[in-house]
Amino acid sequence: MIRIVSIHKAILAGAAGAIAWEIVLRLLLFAGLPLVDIVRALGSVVVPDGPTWAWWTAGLLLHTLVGVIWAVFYAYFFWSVLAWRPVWQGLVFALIPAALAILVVYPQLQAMHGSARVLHIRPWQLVAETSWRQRGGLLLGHLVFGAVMGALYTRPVGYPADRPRPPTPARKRRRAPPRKVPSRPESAFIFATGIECSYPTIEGGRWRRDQMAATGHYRRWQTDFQLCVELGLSHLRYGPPLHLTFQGPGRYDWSFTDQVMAAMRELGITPIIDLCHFGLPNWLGNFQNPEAPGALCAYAAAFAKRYPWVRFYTPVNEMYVCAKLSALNGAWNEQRQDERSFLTAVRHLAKSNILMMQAILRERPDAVFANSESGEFYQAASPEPEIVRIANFENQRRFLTLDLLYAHPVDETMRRYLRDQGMPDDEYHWFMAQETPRRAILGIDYYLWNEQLIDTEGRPQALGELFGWYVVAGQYWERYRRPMMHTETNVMDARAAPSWLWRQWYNIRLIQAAGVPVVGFTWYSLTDQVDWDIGLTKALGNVNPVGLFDLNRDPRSVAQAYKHLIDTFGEEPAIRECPALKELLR
Amino acid sequence: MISFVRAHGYDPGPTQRPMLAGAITGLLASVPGGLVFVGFGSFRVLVDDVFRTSRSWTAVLMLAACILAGLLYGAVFQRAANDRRAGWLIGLAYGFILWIAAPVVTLPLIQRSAMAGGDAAVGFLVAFLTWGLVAGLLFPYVHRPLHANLETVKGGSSQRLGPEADMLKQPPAPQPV
Repeated sequence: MIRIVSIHKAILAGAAGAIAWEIVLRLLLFAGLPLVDIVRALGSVVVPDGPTWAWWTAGLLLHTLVGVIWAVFYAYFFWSVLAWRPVWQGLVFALIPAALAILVVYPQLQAMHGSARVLHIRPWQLVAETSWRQRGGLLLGHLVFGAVMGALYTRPVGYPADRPRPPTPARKRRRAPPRKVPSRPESAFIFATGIECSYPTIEGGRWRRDQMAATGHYRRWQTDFQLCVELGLSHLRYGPPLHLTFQGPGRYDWSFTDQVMAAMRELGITPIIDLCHFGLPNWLGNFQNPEAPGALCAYAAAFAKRYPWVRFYTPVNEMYVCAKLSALNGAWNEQRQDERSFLTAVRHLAKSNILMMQAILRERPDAVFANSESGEFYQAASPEPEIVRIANFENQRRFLTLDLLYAHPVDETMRRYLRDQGMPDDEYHWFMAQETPRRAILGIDYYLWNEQLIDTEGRPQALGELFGWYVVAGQYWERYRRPMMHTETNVMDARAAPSWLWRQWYNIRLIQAAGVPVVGFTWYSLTDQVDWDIGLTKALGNVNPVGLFDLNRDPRSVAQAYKHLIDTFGEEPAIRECPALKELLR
Repeated sequence: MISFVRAHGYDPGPTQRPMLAGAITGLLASVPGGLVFVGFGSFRVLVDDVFRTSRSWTAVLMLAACILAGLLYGAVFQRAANDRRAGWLIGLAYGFILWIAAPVVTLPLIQRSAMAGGDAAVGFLVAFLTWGLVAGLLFPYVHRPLHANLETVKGGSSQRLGPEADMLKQPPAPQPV
């Protein structure tokens, strides 16, 4: 899959463009302008001597069909290549079919109109026979087409947030009995992947991004689970669609979740259930809503009660990223850009996480929590005090969500920041008084943009891999001293992915050798993702080739490399039975 | 378009055989394409006015061209050609480009400016579009059973996918002391 395309939108846009061309052209012809009548030129090839209605109908149908094909072509190969307004993109694109029409198709149509079976003429002589007036008419028609098509073809992925699209139940297919995950000890080192499931809203909460829909997981979840089995992956980070399941206070639609959970159980896949992944149901609004923690707690309780066999949970995924993108960078959900809103989101996310863990523990006292968070680091670009201050502040702030989650006291600077941005002291003390569950894994995610330089203007810029997961995760280990897991990684360049995979694995080996208890590794995700190169901020539909499998479910090189890694290290005693995980599960 | 396809994961990976699939697809698509070609009288133009040889030789040449074009299709589009939703479009575009390259530009240059006209010219266009459309549609289905198994494919321990994948391709030469 090269791009997610809304076929029905492209068909409508192409047809509308072709019809708009015909209306404009017909009006100009009535006004006496001597332009190329492309519908007549096409129609009379099909019905050479027919009446007007016959050639007009045939010509319009043919021209509309051609318009539709060009629109689908535009949707696949041109849409969003230029960061311009859609109508301008359509206009520029229209120059391609216009050039082909002027130089090739229209001259060839003239050859097709003749009765001679063979013409003895050079190709450019045919082109030269087209007058400048005709060329101008063709260009004008294409520009009308491009403007209309471009204006109509927008937002190929996602859907209106107030009109959610629940997944349709899977059809029963006749197929070979599914293979199961080979049996491994429960305390074996976790080799995992994940189904990318983010569902934030954009455009002021009106448009829902839904990665499970965009990547085709709702249609192909059975295949996806089989691919996990094929690779020998024991664990799957999986986030049922909260926004579709949790329909109101006490109202749940478990129809899709029931199906997928039953299938994972049957296949022997251990799910690490991700209950809140960057978004909320429409009725809950966004992370500024003080009702969100209570509601999410109720959802977690209902989930744990319905699926009592599930042991691994990520109650809230990447709280820091969620709060930052939603309330500091203005990209998702509430789309705020101020410190107070950021801290409000952090407070609600951390409180949700704690309440959800407590609710799950009431149903499943031996539940294990993989608290996945983005591993960040900020480097000052210069010794200038202000730049160093910003870097130091960011290096404290990166811990804020986990500090609240794990009841780790913040330093004085951060304490002042919390007070200044509206966090009451009694709330802070409430966080600090919570008891962290014993079976909580500190999950540190790592991507190429996680280490950032505070430049000389005081702005963060992605640095790439400066110190690597070993150093960054080590800083989190020093602070929290909890069993760790590499809970997410991938790289945007598919060709570099095997190399990146091994590099992350070496980081894990090194930190284990240094005495840090690491219980698992995750290549995220199973399939390619959509629009993560722009942080899901626009509904463009661009496929990011980061998966173990592409969106056709064909393996990428990194899938074989991961399998190779598991085969090579899987039988090592410390991997076959990971002491840190054994202790955690005890 | 090629750079775009490359940017979205052009590398076919270790399990795929796009060129073989392309060659087979090209051959299969020559059946509907050939029927159109004959039906519009374009084949006669090719036999009588372009190649000026026997029908059977012309047919053999055309089949070879179809296989070659299919092979090239697999080589150019590789992983992107597996897309079941977009395959028809990629194939159609490819057929259109071949139409411009072959009967519109190349044939008149090599054979005394002979260019098909009338229905035969329509036949050339429709045949190339049909061939491309069918090839693009069939490619994912032909390719799927040709995939090598992930567990048994050669190259698992190769430098490309094994731990050596992270090694520098050309280690820096030792500096003289």
